[in-house]
Amino acid sequence: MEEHRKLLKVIENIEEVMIGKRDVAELSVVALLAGGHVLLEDVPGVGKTMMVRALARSVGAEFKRIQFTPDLLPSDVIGVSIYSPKEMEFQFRPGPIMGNIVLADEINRTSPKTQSALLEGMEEASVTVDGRTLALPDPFFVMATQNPVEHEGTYPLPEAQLDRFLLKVKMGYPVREDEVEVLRRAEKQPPIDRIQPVITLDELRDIRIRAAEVSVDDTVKGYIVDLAESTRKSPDIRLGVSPRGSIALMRAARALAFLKGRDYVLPDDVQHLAPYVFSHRMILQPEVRYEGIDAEELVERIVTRTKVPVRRAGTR
Amino acid sequence: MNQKAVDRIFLGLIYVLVVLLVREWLVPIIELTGAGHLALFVIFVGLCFAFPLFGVPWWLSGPVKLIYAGWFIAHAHMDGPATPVTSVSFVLGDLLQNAGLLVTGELGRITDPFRTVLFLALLWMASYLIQYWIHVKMSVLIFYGMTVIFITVLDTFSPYSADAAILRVLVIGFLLLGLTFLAKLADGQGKRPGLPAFLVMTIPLLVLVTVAGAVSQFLPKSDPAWPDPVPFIKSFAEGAGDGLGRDAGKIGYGEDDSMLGGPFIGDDTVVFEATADRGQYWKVETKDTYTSRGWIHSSEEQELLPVGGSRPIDEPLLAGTTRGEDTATVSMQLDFEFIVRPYGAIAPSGPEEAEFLQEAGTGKVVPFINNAPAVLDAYSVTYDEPAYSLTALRATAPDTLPQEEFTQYLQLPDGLPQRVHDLALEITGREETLYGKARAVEQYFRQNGFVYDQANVASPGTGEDFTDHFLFETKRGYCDHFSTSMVVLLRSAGVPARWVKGFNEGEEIGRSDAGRQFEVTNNNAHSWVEAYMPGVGWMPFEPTIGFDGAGGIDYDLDLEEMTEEETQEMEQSAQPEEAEEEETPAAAKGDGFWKSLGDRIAENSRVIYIALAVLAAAVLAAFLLRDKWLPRVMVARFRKRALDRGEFERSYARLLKRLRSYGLPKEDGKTLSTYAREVDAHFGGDDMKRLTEAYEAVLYGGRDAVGEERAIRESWENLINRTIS
Repeated sequence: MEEHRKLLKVIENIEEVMIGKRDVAELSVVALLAGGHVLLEDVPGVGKTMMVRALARSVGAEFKRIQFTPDLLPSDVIGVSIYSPKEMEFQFRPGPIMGNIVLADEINRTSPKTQSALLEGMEEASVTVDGRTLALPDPFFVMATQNPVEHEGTYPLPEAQLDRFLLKVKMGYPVREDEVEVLRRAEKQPPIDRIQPVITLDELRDIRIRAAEVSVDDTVKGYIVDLAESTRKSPDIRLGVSPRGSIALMRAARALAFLKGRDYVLPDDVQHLAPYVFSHRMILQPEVRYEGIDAEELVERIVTRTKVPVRRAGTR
Repeated sequence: MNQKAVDRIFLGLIYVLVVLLVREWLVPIIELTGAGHLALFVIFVGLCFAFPLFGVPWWLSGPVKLIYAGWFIAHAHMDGPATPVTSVSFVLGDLLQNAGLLVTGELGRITDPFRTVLFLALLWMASYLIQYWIHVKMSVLIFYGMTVIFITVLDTFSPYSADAAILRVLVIGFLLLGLTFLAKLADGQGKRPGLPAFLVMTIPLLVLVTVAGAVSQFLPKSDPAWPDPVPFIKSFAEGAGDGLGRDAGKIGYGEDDSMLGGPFIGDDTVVFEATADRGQYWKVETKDTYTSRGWIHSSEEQELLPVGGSRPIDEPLLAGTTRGEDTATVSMQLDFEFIVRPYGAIAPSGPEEAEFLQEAGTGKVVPFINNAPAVLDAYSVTYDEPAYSLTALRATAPDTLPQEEFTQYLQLPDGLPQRVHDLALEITGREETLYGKARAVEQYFRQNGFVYDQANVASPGTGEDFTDHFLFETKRGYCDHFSTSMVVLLRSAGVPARWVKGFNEGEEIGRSDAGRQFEVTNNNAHSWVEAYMPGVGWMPFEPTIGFDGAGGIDYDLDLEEMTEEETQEMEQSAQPEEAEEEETPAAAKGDGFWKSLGDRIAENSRVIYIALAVLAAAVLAAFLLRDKWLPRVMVARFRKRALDRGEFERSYARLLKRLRSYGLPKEDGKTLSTYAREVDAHFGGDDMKRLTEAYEAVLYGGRDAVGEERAIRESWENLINRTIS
């Protein structure tokens, strides 16, 4: 399976610049394959930008970056029509959202109006300007970051909008040896410059179609539903995962299976992705939050308790 | 109270119980050997346990025990006042003297004090062993089991009666087992319980065992399911039995019946051949005096009366009919100085010169030639077989009996145990006529678990009564046992009875014009019973199981007066036995089938129970050992099947089940590949990974065929086989 090798090469590229974060790299590629977007929840300075740039370079995609600030306007994201005296008409100047891979930095710093402009684009794969609908480039992949530490002057994304993101990933600091390696490489030429594209955008589009064809057996679908149901029944969770969340998990699992070179989904794929797919789609009970238990932990607990199907339905 | 003290109390409690258990060993030993000083021995054992409990160092506990042992010996064996000085010199002198005996190997001459020393040393070692069991293994089951076996064996084979001891051992033993189990549990927790927890655990145990023991004492107990095995084992081990040491006798007609019992070996030497119209018992003589061990006749000297001619051999029948006169011709093969004759014998005839004289007491008819007892090769006896009148028999009330005439036939030995009398009253109490009593006793043997057996028969021990031994201990014997017991029971119930010797009818070997020919061998030597029925005369009864009654009945009742029950009884008795046997298959139809099935189950209940028990044990063993054989069966079956998708899925499920019972269960939340890594890490290799990947492709990937079938089969078998070990 040629494509699968190439995708692994993409991951290796990202690893070149993001030492010791293979899982994050893998998840990013999964989201890219599944046609979803990623919400990176992390402190600044751990290499998010580098990673997204490395990803963009690897797939030969156009990279755009939007730094969200409180005074950013929707038109700053989408683009604006400007009257051209020469042409005697309004001409559309595309905003930074018109890229293949977009890094939306500190998305919670801007006003809800601007946020929803981006989120609408993510959902519809198109934007509306002056009453006209403009399709966004294909592939269109947003990696948004959000700083969980600062609350002053931020506009937290509402839950309903969070589920526009396929995965929510926490990056975390590198482990000691990895950070030493980061410093060593920082002395030399920035590695980002050496990254060569591995696949073309056309190939990527093709791969996305192939990945969507990965089969999900009914037993595994049942497992996904069992997991979603468990979040709804858990006394620690006020609002469980919606069927849209179940669909998202299945999509992501397909992509992961493809990445692993399989044409069918294993419960292992589901288990691996469930915390990233489910955690931002649930609302915890306040007392649970005060206890310091986060959503990822709860999902992991549910995963260890939910029975993995090991037999065909209807057989003993 | 600190933990150490609680531990010590706990251990102390266990030790106290152990000492009590050791005491149960000492009691019978001391009782049987007559050694005495039980309390002193128990104190010594107590010391052996108390010193280690309180952590007394060996240099203190050793000498204390030695001093105690020395004092014990001096106290128990020394004559005269015991001062420390004399005691020491006594003990030392004794030790020196016996040490010499030990060296020279003259063990028989060892003195009692030295035996005590050796016994104390044995106790000392035994207490060490028990402490080892408790400390290291935390188990007293072996010791407890040995105690139970010791007590029960002594109870069975020695004069020691362990009735109370068994209850004590039960209570002590269960307490001990419970406490050691608690100790084990506590060890498993890694932490000994504190005093409250200790009490919470211990007190219910104490209450439960005590209550159960006490209640068990008051509950009714069933009789033993098996007869006492001792007589059987004894007869097996010693042949004819007890200290009298008789060898297994050969069956046959003998004169001396003063010592009955013991096993017999069959002997088919022909005694005589006879020609007669009907098969019947051949009577020789009767005996009237029971000695607790056998039969003798009350008078040594017998008055001899000539028979034949005017005086018939048997007294004429007083009430009833006869079946018509006939002549029985006898040709003797063995030399006997008497003749055998059928019931209702009238006159013998033999060679011209022979004269027949009958002993008045025994009824034995002896041929005389030239005034000396002679052996006749051939003779004949005319007889007229009696049938006793049922009407007259039903009128045989006890008060019609002229007591004084029958004192010799109501004789019983002085030492006859009371329970024989009680049994006789129990059997006959409800019968109003002598005849009824006699029939009741005759039937008693057929309904109460008695067994006919010639080979495995024990003789009663010294001082035991022959009938008592048979009726209550063994319930196993041959004609002498049954007939003697019946006579004794009848006499106990006030029915005059005597013991009859002779032969049964023998085997029919042919027919001739003169009648049917019978061959009578030593195996046919027999004994039965005659009881006196007032108004009827002496009438034979047959108590021995498997033998058909001697003496016919004349059903001369007025039929209209008879109740239905009586008619039935009559009809049944009148029917030949073959007819009854034929009825069985006929009854096996419809409801009768279930009834006869039920009867058959009831008859063979012991066999069925044993079979069921064996079956249940086999099933249980198969279940418990399933880890050993089930995988092999599974592998054998697996090899035969084609490995299609369905079979592969089933096989994988079976493997998961096997692994679970092996101790590698898959947790619900784990995926198969995670589990496969764990299994492979446990067994080594990558069989489970290979198998699981294939299974995942089939189950989740929807593959129809199983790839790499050979490798898959191999991996599966490897894993299944690993679950065996």
